Order: sequence, then C-alpha cells, then structure tokens
Amino acid sequence: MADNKHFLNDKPEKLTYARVWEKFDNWARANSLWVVAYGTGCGSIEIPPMVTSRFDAERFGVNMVGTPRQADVLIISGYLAVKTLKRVIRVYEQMQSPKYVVALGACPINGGMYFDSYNTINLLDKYLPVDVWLTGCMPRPEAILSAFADLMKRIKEGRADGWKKYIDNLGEYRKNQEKIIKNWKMPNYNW
Amino acid sequence: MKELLDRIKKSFKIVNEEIKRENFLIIEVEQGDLKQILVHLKYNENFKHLALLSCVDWIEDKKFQLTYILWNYKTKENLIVKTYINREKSDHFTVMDIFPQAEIYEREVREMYGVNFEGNSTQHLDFALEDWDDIPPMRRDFDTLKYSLENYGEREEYDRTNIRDIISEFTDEWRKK
Amino acid sequence: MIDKKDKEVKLFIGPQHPGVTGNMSFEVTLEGDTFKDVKTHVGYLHRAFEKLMERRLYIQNFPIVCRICVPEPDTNENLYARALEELYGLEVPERAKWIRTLVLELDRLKMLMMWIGGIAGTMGLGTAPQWSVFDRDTVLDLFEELTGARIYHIYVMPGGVRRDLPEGFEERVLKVIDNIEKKLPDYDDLVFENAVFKKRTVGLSKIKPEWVEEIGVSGPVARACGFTYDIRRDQPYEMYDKLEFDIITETGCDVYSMAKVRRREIENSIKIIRQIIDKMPKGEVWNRPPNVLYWKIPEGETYVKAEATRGEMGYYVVSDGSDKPRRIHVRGASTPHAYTLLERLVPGMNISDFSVTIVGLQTCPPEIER
Repeated sequence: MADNKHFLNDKPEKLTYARVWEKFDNWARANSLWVVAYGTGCGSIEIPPMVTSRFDAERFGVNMVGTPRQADVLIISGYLAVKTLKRVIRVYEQMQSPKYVVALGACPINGGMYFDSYNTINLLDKYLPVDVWLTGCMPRPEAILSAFADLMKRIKEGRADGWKKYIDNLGEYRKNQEKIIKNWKMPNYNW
Repeated sequence: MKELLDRIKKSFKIVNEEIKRENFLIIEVEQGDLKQILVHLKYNENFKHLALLSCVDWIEDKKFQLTYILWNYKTKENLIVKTYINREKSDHFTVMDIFPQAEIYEREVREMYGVNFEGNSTQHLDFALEDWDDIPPMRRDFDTLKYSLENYGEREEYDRTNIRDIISEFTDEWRKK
Repeated sequence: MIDKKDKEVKLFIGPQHPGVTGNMSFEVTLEGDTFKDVKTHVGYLHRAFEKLMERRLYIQNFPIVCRICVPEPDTNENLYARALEELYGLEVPERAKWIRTLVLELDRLKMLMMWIGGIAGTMGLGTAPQWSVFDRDTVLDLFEELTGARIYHIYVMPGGVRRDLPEGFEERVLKVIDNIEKKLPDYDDLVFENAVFKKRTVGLSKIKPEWVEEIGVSGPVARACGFTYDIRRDQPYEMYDKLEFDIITETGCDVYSMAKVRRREIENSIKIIRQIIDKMPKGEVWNRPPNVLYWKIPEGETYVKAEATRGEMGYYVVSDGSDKPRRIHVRGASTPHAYTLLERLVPGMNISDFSVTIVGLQTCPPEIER
C-alpha cells in the first residue's frame, strides 16, 4: 500500500504509442463488460428479463458470471442493509481493476422510501465510488440497458475512474465504513 | 364456535372473549394458565397448527400482549389466544415442546422486543440484526428517524415537510366532501 | 490416527451465490461430500417494514406493503385491503371481487413461470429460463396496460379496485392464456419429462407425512405429500366459492412431486381465468372510504389469510382508534420451511443437491425477515 500504482493513463506527458494502446484498451473493455451475479435488493427482479431473450443484453457483450474474480461491473440494485454492505465491500475489493459500479433506483441516491429505517443506508457515495446513477423504482430493462450504454461511452472517453478514486482516498472511505460497521475484520489490501 | 367456547369454559378460566366471524374466536387468558390451555387445545380439540406468535406493545398501560394464532384442520376454525405480561420485567416460558416452529418466532420476538423465553436454548442467536447495541428496536420508545439521520446522514439540499400540508394545498375541495 | 472431528469442514453457502433464491446464507458442516447439519442466516434484506408502517397513515402503507415479497406483490395488497375493510366495516361491490380474483390468478401464473426458469437453472438447463421469462413478460404487459406499472401495481384499494378494465381487455387476456397453454407440451418435453431432471429429483429429500401437521408446512409442499389443504377451499375469500377448480395432490413427498404439483397448477389457473371472464357481471368497482388523509379506524384486531403460490400467507393487524396502525405482523409461508423443515431434511444429502432442494421448497427470504 506504500505506492499507489495506476496504469499509464494518468501521466501528463504520454508517448504516442501509449496513447494509441490506451484507446484500444478502453475500446476492448467497453465492449465486453461482465457482471457479478449478486442480487442485493428489490431491483434485481428486473435483471432476469434483461439478460434473457426479450431485452437481450448479450448483443452488447454483457454476461453474468458467478465469481467476482472474473467480473468488471457490480450492479447495486436498490437499497443496502448494513449486513449486506459489509459483504458488498468484500466482493468489491475482490474484483480486479479496472472495475465499475452502477447504482439503480432511488434508494442509493438519498435513501428513497426507506429514509427513516434504522437498518438501511442513505447515501451510497460515502462507502463506495459510483460511476453511473439511474433513477426509477424499478427502472425498466430498457432503462438499465441505456445505463450500460452510458457507461460504455464514459469508458471509451477515459472518464470512468471510480476505482482510482477508491485507491487514492482509501482512508476516508474506511472511516465512513467503520462508523457503521462494528466488528470489522477485513484484510488490509484493497485490490 | 359457541359449543367450543362452552367446552373450554368448563375447565379453564377465561377473562374475556369475542366471536368475530362465524369461524373466528378470540379469547384472553392469564399468563399462568396459558400452557395448560394450549396443551388441551392441541391434543383434545385438534388445533394442531400454530400460524403465528406475535407481540404488541401497549406502552400506555405498561404491558406487552402476546398473541398465539391457531387453526384446526378438521373443523376449519380459527382461534386467537392472547395474554398480557409485564413490560418492565418481561419473562415468559417457551412453547417449543408443543409446537416446534415456535422456536423461530420466539427468537424474533426476543430480538425485537426483549422478551425472555425460558426453556428456549437458541433464543440468543441473531435473527435479522447483526451487532446491535441499542434498545430492542420495535419498542415504541425507540425513535428510528433520529437514529437514521445521526448514523447514515442525508444530502444537504433535501427538504422534508409534512405530506398533509402538500396535498391539502391542491385538493381542498376533496377535503370538504 | 485421524479423529472423526478432523474430517469435518465448515463452509458458507453465502449471499452471493447463483444457486440460492435471493439473499440468504447457510452455514453448513460437511464431511467429504455429504452434509451433517445446516444453520440458516437471514437478515440481509431487513428493512424494518413493521416499524415504518407504524409511522405512516393507513393509505400511505400501500406502496410499502407491495415490496414485502417482490415477485408476487398482489397477494400482499389484497390481504392488507381485506384486513382494513374488516376492521372498518366497508362493503365491496361484486364486480370488484371478480376483478380482484382475476388479478390474483394472473399473479400466480407469472410467479410459476419464473419458478420454472429457476429450477431448470439450478441444474444447468439454460434453455428453459429463456422461454419462461419471456412468457412471464407477456403477462407483465397485460398488467402494464391495466395498472400502469410492470412490477408494483398498487391497484387493489380498500373498498374495491382503482379503475375498471379497459376496452377489449378480456380478449387480450384470452389471447395470452391460449399462447401459454399451447406451449405447455413443449415445457413437458424440455423440463418435466426430461430423463436427467427425473433422475436428479425423484427420491430427493423425502418429507415424512407426520411432519406436515407438526411443523406447519403449507402450500404445494404439503400437497405433494397427499394432504388436501388449500385455503381457497377451506376458508373461501373473494369469489372462490362460486368457481370450480381442483385441488391437486401427489403422493411422492419428494422434489419431483412438488414440481408436478406446480406444473398442474398452471393448468388449474388457466381454467379459473377462463371461468372468470365468462361470468363477470357489470357494475361499480370502488366503494370509496371517507377522506383517506383523515381516516380513523375503530379499535380491534384481526387475522386474514390467503393462498399464495408458496403457501399460507397471513396478516395480523391491530388498530387502536387513531389514524395510524398500532401493529401489523406479516406471516410468510417460508419461515417454517427454511428453518425447521430444512434442518430435518439435510443430514445425509450430497452437496450438489442442495440448490435443487432450496429452489424446490421455494423459499423467499424477504418475507422471513421483512
């Protein structure tokens, strides 16, 4: 953890071949996004229609895999109880960089309809870095596909860098997480 | 249901009763008689199915109300047995030996209200909350909005007003009907 | 010399797993490949519904009640509306009862379609979810035309339903049902008469018949052991006492019998929907309560129940004379299944059969912990 290694993408002066290689990298990452199969809240009732034959998501390269070690995208579908937040952070830290987070619904933005519940969090931004927000309750499968299209556009332009923010500001994120999760026995690495 | 009520009244003392629909009876008993009444209902009258064990907090009278909801498979009748226990020192006994599924319902009532069921060896395990260190959350004196705003925060530009004021601005004619 | 205790391994079949229905975890003890015991953990979806419902008015609770069981929201709305009507004494017009029964049966049909995809997916049969989730989508299109939303409808109100059926709705319903009925022989060839499906589910996790009345098992799991328990016949609600339908039982007591019971329930639902569309009269649809922002319900308590796809679902409502409820307790059907029944079924089972058992019992974690 002593030196935070990013890729070549953030050095101010770049060699020409590095810039071309980076563009090819981003194009390859955007066209084959793999999603972790984890239904964390009520929004995951619209994920099976999205990946089956009616609103086919495989034509965009999106696929569901079983383990986080092989995945790029984590979909937070709705609210998060405190017990689930601990497991989601562990899953997020087991994914390899570069990785992206998509937040569905009104609940991660400011609490949604469970704003006064003692067991659900109100702001997701304090605990995990988010790339794309999507409103609705539930959003339709076509809306989730448009969120993926937006994410792909951001990756190709080089603006989707939530994972870099997490590595740089790890101290702040850990402070917020440890305030609500007692009994914290997490490993020290985060990539 | 009238004959069932008369048969129960011959052997046990009932504090209060009410017949709601034609197959629905509510009786209230003392805490000491509860176990014998449940054993009699299960083995002699065929009320074999415990649908629910629930708890209501009457904070004004300083009491908890425990409710047992039973169902008879043969004669298709509903029966609710309820009893009141003290709120400050809430000790009770388990019915796990009569109905096996009561183990889970008692675990939940203990976590949410703080009632102690003697004889249930797994009641201290966690049911839905993890590492909870405040008072049992379903009691009426636990303020959940204050807990949520202190621990989880809110966005600065959010405005929470009363829903009645917002709606009654637009629908005054509906209110007068 | 290896001690017997050294051969045991503890494992977490945890919340992030494609073979578990929803978000719950199991702490299991294994010896080689066979189970010794299991402990269920829930609480990953706990939103404290019952505490939230005590802080809101009666009419503000309808959007909350939908979200207790996500794939099957209409049964919850129906139960809550019936509990309020019974405590207050509100009459429901006759056409509204027929429409409510139609909505309940369509709800059962779409949940069974999703279940076929689930049980086939645990065995690696990938074609069946592609077909059945598409068929479920055609039923969701009907709901979108009737109520405005795909998943959470908020259509059943205390005193009736919110608005009448649009024009030409009955023909569209019949067209969707004919389509599903034509495809049922294909589903038989693919899933229910498949040789691999039969070999994997026949004889798996047999339930002893005396456990059914002892633990409180209900729904298709109880009917797979030969008991004829169905709340639509034992304590009829809405219009079920004027309709003809069968009570479907099998005698196998294993996962294959549960699958057969659910497969025959699809045909049963289709038969009921055709009768409803034939017999529905004309009339009003909503007997409005007084101004709902200032609606006070007198003191009392009641318990209403209905036959959901999983089993018996019940609402225990207590009111104290003000305009907010005192206590609402939801009884989900999968609480006895996931705890007490599973602990008796698991010892001696192979680890690759665990997912099939869980999906066969159709446990739904949000209704255990609300």
